[in-house]
Amino acid sequence: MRILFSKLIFLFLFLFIFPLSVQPKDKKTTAPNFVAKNLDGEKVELKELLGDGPILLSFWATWCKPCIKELNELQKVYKKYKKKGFEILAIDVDGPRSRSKVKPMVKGLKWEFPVLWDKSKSIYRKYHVLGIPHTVLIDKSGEIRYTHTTYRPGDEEVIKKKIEELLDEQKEASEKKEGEKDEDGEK
Amino acid sequence: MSKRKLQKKKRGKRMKMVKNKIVFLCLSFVIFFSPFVIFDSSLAQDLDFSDTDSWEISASNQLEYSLDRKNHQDIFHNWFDFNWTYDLYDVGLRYEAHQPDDLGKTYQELSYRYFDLSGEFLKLTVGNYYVMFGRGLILRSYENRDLRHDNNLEGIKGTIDLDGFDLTLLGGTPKGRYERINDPLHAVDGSIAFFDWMSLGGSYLRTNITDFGFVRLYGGNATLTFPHLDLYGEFARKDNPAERFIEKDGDGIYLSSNIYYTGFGVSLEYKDYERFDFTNRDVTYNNPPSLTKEHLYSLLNRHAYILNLYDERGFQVQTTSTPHEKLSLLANYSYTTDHKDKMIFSEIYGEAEYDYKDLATIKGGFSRMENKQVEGSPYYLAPVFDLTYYLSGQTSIAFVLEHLWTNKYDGDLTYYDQIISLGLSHSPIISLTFTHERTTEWKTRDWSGKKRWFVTTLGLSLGEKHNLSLSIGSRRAGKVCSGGVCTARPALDGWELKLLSQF
Repeated sequence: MRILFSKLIFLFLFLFIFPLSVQPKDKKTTAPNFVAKNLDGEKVELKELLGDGPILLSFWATWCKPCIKELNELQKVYKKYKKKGFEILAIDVDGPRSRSKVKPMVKGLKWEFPVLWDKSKSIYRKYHVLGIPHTVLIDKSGEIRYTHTTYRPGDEEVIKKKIEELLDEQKEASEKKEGEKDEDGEK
Repeated sequence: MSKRKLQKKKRGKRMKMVKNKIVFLCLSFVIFFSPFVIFDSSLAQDLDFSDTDSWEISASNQLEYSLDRKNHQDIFHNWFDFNWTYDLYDVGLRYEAHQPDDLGKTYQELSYRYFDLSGEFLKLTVGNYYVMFGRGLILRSYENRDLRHDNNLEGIKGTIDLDGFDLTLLGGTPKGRYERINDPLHAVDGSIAFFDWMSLGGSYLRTNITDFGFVRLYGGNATLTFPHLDLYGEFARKDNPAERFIEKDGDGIYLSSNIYYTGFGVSLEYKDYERFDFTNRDVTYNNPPSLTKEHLYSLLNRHAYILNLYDERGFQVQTTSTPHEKLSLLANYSYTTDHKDKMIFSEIYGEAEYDYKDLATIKGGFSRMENKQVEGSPYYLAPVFDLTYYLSGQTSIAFVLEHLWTNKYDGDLTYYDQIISLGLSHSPIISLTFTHERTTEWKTRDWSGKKRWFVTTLGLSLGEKHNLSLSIGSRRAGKVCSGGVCTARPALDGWELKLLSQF
């Protein structure tokens, strides 16, 4: 009876109080930095890539059906926005059993974005990933602006919208900066 | 043990459980209510979270609860992870509660806590950590909640990471399913890149197993990368204690090569493991590749091969190709024998996926599998059909049909299992899936259990931070397998709730 009571407390707390813990829109979280190797064995560090445009992290594995579906869709998003500074880092959490299939699958499915291997799932834990696919959208200053777990067909439309919002923000900020520079120049 | 001592031990255990519950409840209330305090508008104005030198706090919670209405039995799992990050420092902990777990055991504990110091070239971890050397032949410490597996190490780990050179030194004790094994292990792993296209590495591990003696594992690996071709090889040896002359030393070899061009990739792998199992009570230290396909469909994984490091060798080849932008193909063949060349497992699998005018995605697959680990040495034939139809940009219907014929060589025994599922989803918020499974196995032997199972699953995304899944109905008992490691999954005849939350 005591155990059932404590479980009911957990359920109450998680179902009713957690939704209230949604953070205010202006609260931003800094994306934890990480270093990982890509499929060619080269080291890639997140903070080195910041500054050009939004970055999308997508946690996936070769045995995850919705992950493959999502990355096929994200490949189209990547092609569309890459020239505007958008980058995707597909963080692979495959274990030793399926590790060797990653590169042939990536090349076979014609994914063009970088794929990094999270060997001991340290990036997975840093980002508190609880299930895959899991996507994290980071703006150019390194703040997390959107996260999503699971994949339902059509989720890529939401991601596209968020990317466009960030690119517009970026454009406005750089136009403002240029305007300020011109003013200083005139002075 | 005397009665008095027994009573004292029981009292001590009870006090520990009560203390853990109090700690957990206090921690929970602090975490649950802190968002109200921290993000209250008046207080938020005083606290500047945009300062890059400030603490970052993050947490996540995974809750799973199921209730079997027939037997009135419930299972409860909860994992709460919490960490603080400040500049180079990272501190974290995990509190778990299982009341009871899948095997009926009730416990709660601070199962994971660590302090990390990360510099540009050096990282130090004190506390609990996970690690893998090479492809797992010598050491793989990892967590997989679906398998209820966690063999984290507790101790110290230091890593030096320079351009072209890395070195890891560690010491610690591994975690078993319910308690830590107090047999310390010490290990080192390193690699050097000699050219852009070649790196060599080596690992060494030593542990003193209680009532067994010192065990050493050591080995080397090489990675060669060329245009359109990658090669990887790893060799490892296991030395048992000299005095245990009955247990001979063991060897493990793993080779893999990848050949790829845009639109086409092939992976070839070879394994040879002999007397290479490395376990201590319920802890397995290593987890080499099993060279069998990890399927995306339930029935195809139902009779998965279980890795046998004592005596097996084999190979696997898999090709992935996209001959047309709307069409992708996959083919896989895997074959495992013992060292007397007796076949233990084989599978041939192929699938094709086609995107039809952005209206639908159609996938068909077929598997023929033989698994001598299963009683009766059956062979299986399994077609799968998977159709997703897009009603609009965000709404879709998915239909999946899986069929598995089981045929036993000893007689004309044949029966089938079938799963049909129909799902409706509206991105990004909601999905609803109906899954029906049936079997004709009851025709082949004495059968007192169910012949059909039906479950409805509702998936909800509550904002960006919470995901809820609620299943009501019945689901067959079975195995959950990953990487050659399997765990039993109990049947469901009631309801099951999963809640994933991030903060």
